[in-house]
Amino acid sequence: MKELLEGFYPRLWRYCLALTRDLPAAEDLCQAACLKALESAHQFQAGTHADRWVFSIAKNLWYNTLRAENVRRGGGLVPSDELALPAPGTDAETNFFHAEVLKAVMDLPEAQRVTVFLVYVEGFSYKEAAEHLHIPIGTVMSRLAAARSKLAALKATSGAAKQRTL
Amino acid sequence: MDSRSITDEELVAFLDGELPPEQAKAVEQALRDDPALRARLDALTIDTDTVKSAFDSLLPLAPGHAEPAPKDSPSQPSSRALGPLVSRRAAIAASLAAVAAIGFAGGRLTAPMQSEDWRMAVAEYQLLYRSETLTHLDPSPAELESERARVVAELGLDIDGTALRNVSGLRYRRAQILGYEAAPLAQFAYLDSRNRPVAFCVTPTEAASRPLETQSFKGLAAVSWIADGFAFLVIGDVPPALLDRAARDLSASLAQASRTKSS
Repeated sequence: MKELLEGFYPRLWRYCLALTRDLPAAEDLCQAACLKALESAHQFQAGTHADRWVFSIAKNLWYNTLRAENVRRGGGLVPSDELALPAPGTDAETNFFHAEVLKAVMDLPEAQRVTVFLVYVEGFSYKEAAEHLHIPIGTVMSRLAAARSKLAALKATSGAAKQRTL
Repeated sequence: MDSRSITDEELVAFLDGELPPEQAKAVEQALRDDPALRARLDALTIDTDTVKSAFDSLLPLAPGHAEPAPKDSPSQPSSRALGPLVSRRAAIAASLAAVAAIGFAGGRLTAPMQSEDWRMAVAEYQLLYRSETLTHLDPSPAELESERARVVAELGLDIDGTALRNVSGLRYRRAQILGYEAAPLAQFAYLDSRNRPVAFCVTPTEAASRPLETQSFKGLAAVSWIADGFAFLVIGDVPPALLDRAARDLSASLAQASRTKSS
């Protein structure tokens, strides 16, 4: 299990970032999820996707316990303008553009943000996303519709990104 | 199919290729017939590939998990149990190239902090250098001095000519001012005894001081260090031992100059 975790650790961390939208909280969550995965490795069914199994662990940890603790400690309420995200790469223009897109997605309400992440970043099908989040497929669709409508509107109004398509 | 009965959810599923074929066909037909429906579709269209690539650009910034677990993290005793898999928060902070605070609505981008990436940028630039870039240069001491004075003034760090000239194994050839992100970047060009180009580069940084470190960027040997708000890099396609000596000479001269100035 440890080798498996190493393999997809960056993607797990990224999912934690999408869940928490906060670097320290994402790291805490990521660590907690890895520990939990190692502890319950015997429950993992060989032949299934280890990454998705640990993603589920992370998501459950976040919604069941850590999220409430994080909010209690004053975290999780980071104003979007102060949301600290790593600035990737060295190409300033690509950086700026990626940063804008990340910011726009991270600004979505939690349910929409996580659904967009799973479907468009991690490539979950609607059915897989619905199972992962324990929601009906119709809810996946309505979250995506709401998110797309917001992102498309930003695309239309953003001056800086006017020439680019989101 | 009456296009008014098509919901936004169905349009999104259509865009995502999640509709059953016959339903997708019906939506396609309705789109052909109804401009209002096309407008609704347009208002839901985003480039999902860009969303993916933006998030993919985060992956290299995941906290390094190859490092040993921290010994001094009493608040997170659990992280030790995980061994080398997980690094602590400080490690990720250090590994982040930069932190950008971005306001989307105004299209505002706060200038990112000076990052370590400048060394990669220098390496790429240095790769373009060959002997002939510098061998034709035969500046007089007076020319070199006025060039140096102009460059160090731009840089904001007074590196004196003696320090630049007295580097083991290297002949000083030229100074020029370049820039990385918003910061000035001074480049002092050298040739070694076999006319191989070597660069000594300096740029301001907010990072903490750290000692000489031998590395390799883009296949070039390099030694870098940080002292008193400036980051230094000696780089070239030469044996690392040669660069080590050069870097030690330069860092020693600079440290001495800084001691002299502050005393």
